Amino acid sequence: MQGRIRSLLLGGMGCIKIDRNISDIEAIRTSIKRLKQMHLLTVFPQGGIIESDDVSSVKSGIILLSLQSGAPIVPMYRAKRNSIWQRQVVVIGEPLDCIQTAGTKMPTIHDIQKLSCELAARMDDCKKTYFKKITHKEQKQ
Amino acid sequence: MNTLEKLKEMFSKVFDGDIDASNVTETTRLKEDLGLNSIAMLYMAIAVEEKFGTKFSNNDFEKIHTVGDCIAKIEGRLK
Repeated sequence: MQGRIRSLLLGGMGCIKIDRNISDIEAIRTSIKRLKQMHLLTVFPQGGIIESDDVSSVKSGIILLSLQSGAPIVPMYRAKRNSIWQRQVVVIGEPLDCIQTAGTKMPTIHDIQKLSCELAARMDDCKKTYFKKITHKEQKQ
Repeated sequence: MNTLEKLKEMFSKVFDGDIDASNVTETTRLKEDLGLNSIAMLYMAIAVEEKFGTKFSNNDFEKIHTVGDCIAKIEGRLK
């Protein structure tokens, strides 16, 4: 019952349900459809919210979404907060246009892996920018 | 060109050297023999949809284990 209410609430908010235990082609298709309709889609590229600061473990699903919809990926880094009262800092990086980078919407699986690495690098740049700013701020104080 | 040949052509294009398409037969298993992981399976489904216009459902994924199953789906014979 609780799961059904949560599912209804999240669905009403525009969330797309994805079964991570299977290759959920239907969720992928729904996501592509939404992107083609010019909706914005937030994806956690590591496959979920991770506790660590490691941005290297990007899964390739997000690359498939970008290739099939033509939507670019805007990498972001969300800094950890020590409390809910602290301001949330988000660093927005350089967008990645997968079709333009690969030259086709159907590249090889190796090219998809390369695009995942490129996205991880851009997310890492966002993280570095954040820590650079923090260090700079601390030095000033 | 029959469906198997078309699939083999698609495999060698998409999986670029990872798969020796010349050895692919209808009994070849997608995960165990070709080593397709979940993302590769999704990409295969997208590529099949693009080439043959066949749409896969999540239920189909439970039934598709071999290249032969994939051909059956394309040809509308998958039960």
